[in-house]
Amino acid sequence: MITLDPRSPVPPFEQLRLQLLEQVASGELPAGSRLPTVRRLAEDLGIAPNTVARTYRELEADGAIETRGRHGSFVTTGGDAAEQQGQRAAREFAERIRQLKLPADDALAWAAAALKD
Amino acid sequence: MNPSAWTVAALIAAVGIVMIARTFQPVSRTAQAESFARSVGLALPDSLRPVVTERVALRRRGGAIGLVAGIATTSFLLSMDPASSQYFASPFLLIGGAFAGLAVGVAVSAARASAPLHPDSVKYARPSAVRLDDYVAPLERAGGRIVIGLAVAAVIAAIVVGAPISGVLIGLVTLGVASLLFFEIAGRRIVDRAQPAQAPEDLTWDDAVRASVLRDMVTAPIILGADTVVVAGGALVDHLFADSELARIGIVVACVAAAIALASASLTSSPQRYFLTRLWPKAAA
Repeated sequence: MITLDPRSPVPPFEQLRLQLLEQVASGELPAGSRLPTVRRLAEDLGIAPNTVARTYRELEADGAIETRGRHGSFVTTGGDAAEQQGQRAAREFAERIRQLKLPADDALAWAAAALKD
Repeated sequence: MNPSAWTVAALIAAVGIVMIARTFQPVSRTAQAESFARSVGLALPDSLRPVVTERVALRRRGGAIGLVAGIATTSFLLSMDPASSQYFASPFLLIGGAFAGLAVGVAVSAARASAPLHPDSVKYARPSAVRLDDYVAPLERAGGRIVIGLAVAAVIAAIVVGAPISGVLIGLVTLGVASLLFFEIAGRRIVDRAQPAQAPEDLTWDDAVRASVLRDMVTAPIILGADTVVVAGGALVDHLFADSELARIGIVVACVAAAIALASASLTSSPQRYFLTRLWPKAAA
């Protein structure tokens, strides 16, 4: 989820860029995900399309996303494959723990113990 | 039109008028919103109750107005045909016309819905693009295409073998194809519409209403396609197996079995909650 606070001292462009970068890095936006169109995201967030377009350009320059012509903008598929798989496994583990309604602290302790084995 | 067709038209119109009236009654509006919340498996928070109640009422009213307009238009067009009193299948076209009208009505209501944002409020947006497939279950999406494909094939087969083609059959297949195209084109336009949200719950509920609108829209081609298959199939069977009562009964049993299988698959897969599993997996779990 992207949140945009108009009262924040951080400009909307920077808020948007940082959140998208964070979500790409965390795997919340996995490689190959298609981003909303510039116009759609601008309308959703009530900001100027130019702000979203500038954010996408910066993210593309950083290598986080790529634009495939009329098909839209996508999270790049580059990066460390092993790391991506590890992130996916962690997300699946977290999802399963949520489904089982187990405490997050216990789950983290179990994961840490398993990694030390 | 014959008396049975007029009866069907009057009954459908009466149902539509009652549905419209109920969207203006506060008690009915509340009950409809709560029923909708139960069907999609979401708790309706007090903060969103007025907005959701209004959206659900608008959708139902739009659908009901479309249904009445659809039945009126279909009845008018049928009554223009001098041979319509001889069409035993007129009720099929009337039912199909009503569903086509309902699809247009809910689409118009969705296009008119808007949620203005407060300029100073925090805004929320989904970071990834959504598609029609995120709102409509594969069974329903593919079902519409498959049934319309079967309908077109059945009509072509009837023409090829020289079975009698009535005005009702032409109307059914034309309306069926048009309603599928309408769903595919207008559905994408609805999915592409902005979703201004001041809380994640706004987005969840907007998705819920959007999914229900799209499901209403995809019902039209399914109903019209099924009607066409039944009517064209009947014409084919009458032409090819005029002397075989067993073959005719067999075809009817096969049609009923297919309808029951489709309805059972739809009920067991909870298509009304499909959008949750695609877009809000945590809420669906």
